[in-house]
Amino acid sequence: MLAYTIRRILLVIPTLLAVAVLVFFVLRVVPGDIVEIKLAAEGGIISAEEIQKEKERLGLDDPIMVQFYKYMIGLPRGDLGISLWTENNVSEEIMSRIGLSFELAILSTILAVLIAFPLGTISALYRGSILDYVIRIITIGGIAVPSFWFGMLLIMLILATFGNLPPLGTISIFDDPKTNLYQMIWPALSVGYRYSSVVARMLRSSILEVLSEDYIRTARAKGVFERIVIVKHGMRNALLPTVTVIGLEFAFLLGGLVVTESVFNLNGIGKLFVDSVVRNDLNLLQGLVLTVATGFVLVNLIIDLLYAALDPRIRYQK
Amino acid sequence: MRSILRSAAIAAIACIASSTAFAGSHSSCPTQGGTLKYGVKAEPPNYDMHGTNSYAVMHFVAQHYSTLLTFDWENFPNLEGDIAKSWEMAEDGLSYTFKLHENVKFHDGTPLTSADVKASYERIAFPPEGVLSQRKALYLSLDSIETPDDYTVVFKLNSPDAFMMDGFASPFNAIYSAKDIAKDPNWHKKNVNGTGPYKFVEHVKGESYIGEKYDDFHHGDNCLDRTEGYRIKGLVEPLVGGQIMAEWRATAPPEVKTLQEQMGDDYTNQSKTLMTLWVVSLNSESEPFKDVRVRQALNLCIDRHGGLPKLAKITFTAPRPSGYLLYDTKYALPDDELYQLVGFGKDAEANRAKAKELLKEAGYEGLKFTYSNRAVAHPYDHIAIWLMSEWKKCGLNPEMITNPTSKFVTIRKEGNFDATIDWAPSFLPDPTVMHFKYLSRDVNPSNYSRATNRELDALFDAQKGEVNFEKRKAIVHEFEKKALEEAYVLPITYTDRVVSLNKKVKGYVIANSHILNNTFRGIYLED
Repeated sequence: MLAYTIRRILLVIPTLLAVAVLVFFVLRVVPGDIVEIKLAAEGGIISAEEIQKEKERLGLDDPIMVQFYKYMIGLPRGDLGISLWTENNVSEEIMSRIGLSFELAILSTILAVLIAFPLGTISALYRGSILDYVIRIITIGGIAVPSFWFGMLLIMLILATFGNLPPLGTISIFDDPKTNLYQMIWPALSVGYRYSSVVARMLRSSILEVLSEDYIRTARAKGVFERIVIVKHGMRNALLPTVTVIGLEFAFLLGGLVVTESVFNLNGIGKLFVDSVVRNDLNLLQGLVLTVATGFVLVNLIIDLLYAALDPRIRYQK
Repeated sequence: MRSILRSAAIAAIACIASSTAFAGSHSSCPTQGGTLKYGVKAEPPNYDMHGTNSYAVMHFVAQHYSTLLTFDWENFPNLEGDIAKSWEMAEDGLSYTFKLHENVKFHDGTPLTSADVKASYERIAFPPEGVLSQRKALYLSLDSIETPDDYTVVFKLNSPDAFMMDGFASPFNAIYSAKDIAKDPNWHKKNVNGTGPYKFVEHVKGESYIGEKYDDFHHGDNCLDRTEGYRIKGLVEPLVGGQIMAEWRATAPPEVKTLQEQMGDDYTNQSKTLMTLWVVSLNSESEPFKDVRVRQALNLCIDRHGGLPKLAKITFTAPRPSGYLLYDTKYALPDDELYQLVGFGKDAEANRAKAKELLKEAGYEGLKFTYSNRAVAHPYDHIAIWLMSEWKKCGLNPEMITNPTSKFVTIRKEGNFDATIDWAPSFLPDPTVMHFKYLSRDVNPSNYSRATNRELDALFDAQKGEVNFEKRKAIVHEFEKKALEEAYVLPITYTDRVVSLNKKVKGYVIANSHILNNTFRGIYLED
């Protein structure tokens, strides 16, 4: 197990390195000039000389390989450079927002699991019944309806029910859990609906597949109680692919809440993504992509290790 | 010369007369206290008022600072003192002397003196290496600044400059503490210390911006306990949902309708024409547009009198045709003169016939050209769609290419377009600011028509140095007519600005620019 773990961890390094290199060069192909946007996009009286000076100050007129060198030597130290818009450290900009996105991803995951597990299981156990059809309509709807649109419906619902919207500005869960939950539950529901639908459908398929296995028939033939057959033999084996889906969806949420955060005016890294694209803030954008990629790779690593722990066959493979 | 001196003397007397009241036109506070929550759709890159051109800086940061002069918002553009108690211009127009209020203190407790004014204006006009001053070009006539005593400042000019007096009221010209500038010339990019009505408390980037009442504010008309600015995406839901009470930039007509329906009596608004002119720049380096006949033809095809009133119903544009200067302001061409110029006549059919004739003469019938549009709905898409249809009525074949801001800005800068939407935002109703946009490319790189016209440059310089109102107005009219006939840049329309407010917000007076009157002075909340 230790050798397997080390091997998997070592694989993370070249993966992230490849992402870093790719992101750097791909972003340089994108047209746009942050200095022009910052100083001249809204009109005004600024000379070409001033614009050039600003580019020099920010290092944007350095040859691309010099910029690449500076970027790469900073990475091992965790230095992602400065945001070309605010001139604060990219890592500071990201860290100040990642907590909110992380909280939203966790809350959405909890909601998704709480909704998906009973729905997926009931749907599988009562396959072909009216209940199964109802659950299938709900889950297919969840996959079909975009989260942001569902979010907009939720906003209308909140307005119609309470007459006002949750206060703007992040209120920490540690300072005021009630208000924090009132702010976060709606976007979490908006994202969690789709998320739970994906998980429920995966769980349903997995349970159905497992329940048709020979060892389930054997257990039933031996007279094992049905509840034990389902929970101990069925669910446990059906969990492997479901855990993978939950993990991947969670990793996706870390950077994939772009529209939901905008709809609910949340100050997470999704919204920061949008801002950095609009402003052509390449340093911040590559820092964000790298952060999300790191999250994705780490979640994958955890899933792989979890798999290895759950299924001994995996860790013995060379 | 005698008339210049006479007008200068009259101006000086007027200045002194208008500066006698300390509190100016701002009302005192009918109620004290409360938190004003407002929304802003953008965010400033930093807090330096001198180095920015962003409205977001004004909406968040202006509350912390004072300027030498300000405007009387009820009687705009009349001037009144902010930290200046009185002021006068010398008879030769070569110096301005300001007497400052003696009770003004910075938020850190340091008293404001003439040294702070000198340091601030030197940072604007003669920025040291590494300091960005956005409007340095407007203060080229400033020669030196003297401080005979702690409360007197004298600005010495190398030539008379008609813009200068309005320039002292520029909301961007925040007075910084000389001590802070001495610490680091760029200290104000990341720190705030002013003499304005509200102190800086906290800025959570991407989210909120908090200010609190400054008890020692010299005018005393800061009526609120606290200000909370929030970064918003749209303004309808936050206003309807009670998350904010105001948005200061502009509300589009369909949004106004929704807000009226949803908020009922809780909704109110104020409207005024904004000093931002929407223009179409024709690339004079592009072969067809080198020919003035083709440029004029494109202008003639636009039925301003028929189309603008309709356009104004769906987006925040003004319903009235305009030249480069905002109509009804003191230097603008009167309508009857404007409507005589090519492209501004009321007979749309005659205009189109003339356009077709010019295109035929120039050999560009059915001309195909690209129109670069910015991927922002209001008012870009609305203007673009209207213009496309107008040009097609003349048999032209425009192709609209819409790009996100970053790409749009690059295309505009590099001249990779035939025609592009553009805008000329002004924060002062002065021809020096409003006509700067149309100077030759080497004088002003933000003239995206890339035209060079030394006659226009010379007229601009002449009006700038003319302090006699009537003479200056005549030169400005000549510039206006010449530039409109050349048609490098086609004025489309000004902007109608509607500021949406919750009815609790009182004491706000809308200005002709979203850059102006953002200090929250006089604003109070009423239950």
